[in-house]
Amino acid sequence: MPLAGEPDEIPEIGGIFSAPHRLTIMLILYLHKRVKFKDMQNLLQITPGNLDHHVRKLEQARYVKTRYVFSWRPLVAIEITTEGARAFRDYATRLRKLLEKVK
Amino acid sequence: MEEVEKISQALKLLERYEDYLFRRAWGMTFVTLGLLAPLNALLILKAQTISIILGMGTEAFISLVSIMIALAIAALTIYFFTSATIVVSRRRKFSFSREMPHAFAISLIWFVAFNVTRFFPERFAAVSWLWATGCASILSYLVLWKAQIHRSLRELVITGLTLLAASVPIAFLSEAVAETASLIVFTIAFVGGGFYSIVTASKALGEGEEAA
Repeated sequence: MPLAGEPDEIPEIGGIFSAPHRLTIMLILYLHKRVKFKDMQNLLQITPGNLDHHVRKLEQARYVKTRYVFSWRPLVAIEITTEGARAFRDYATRLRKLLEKVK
Repeated sequence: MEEVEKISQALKLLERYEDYLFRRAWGMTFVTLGLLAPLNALLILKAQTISIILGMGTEAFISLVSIMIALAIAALTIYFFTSATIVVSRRRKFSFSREMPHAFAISLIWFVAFNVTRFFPERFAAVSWLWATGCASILSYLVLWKAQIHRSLRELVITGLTLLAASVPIAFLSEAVAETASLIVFTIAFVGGGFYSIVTASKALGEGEEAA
């Protein structure tokens, strides 16, 4: 529902978070900091290529970074950056304000 | 609103991910327990020989091994559960009333389970481990079921019932055979239950409610 006087509240940051998968990736990383690539792929039920595409988009925005972690086998983990955490917090704050107005 | 729908879907997936971490933490704890507790028992059984080799008193060796293994189990359990639940970016207020009672109750159940065995008669020493930990598994399931914070873990009941059922024939065996048999049963039940928990957690991560 478009709100009069506040047309750009969500669309302004919606660019990067507009894809549901990217929003989920950011929400989970915001709360857990680091998630294994394979776990994220299983959770979202998408192909590795598709997840890689979303991660690259977020990497380009400097919201996440990927790194190798050493478990009993080398694994790729996706990690949120300080910038990414800040951007997601802003997004959540704006969304909350918008919902309060709707209410 | 489209945004709300997206957030709602993301929150569902977040809940599923947190369930996965919780179940995996239980699985890892069970595998640790299934390997370290029998190792402790084995070292105590062979304490006399090992303490001579090490050149220390048998009592001192038993105390040292028991303390070290108990600390290792406690440290690893704390690590598994805190790494599953600690969130770095979240600035959530810690809710004692929501999160502590069931964690405290489960810790107390297992503490009592590991300490109550010493009060059993000598001839039940071997199977008392199976009874105590079997009951602790089932009680932990009941606490989690009552708390309803995470999805109930059926593997706790399966492990508990396996331990209790296996203890019945073992109770009638001779003491020497019963000791070995209960160690084997303990290891198989906990390591098996742990791996089952880890595997079903991974399955549930991808498949959602159906697999959980």
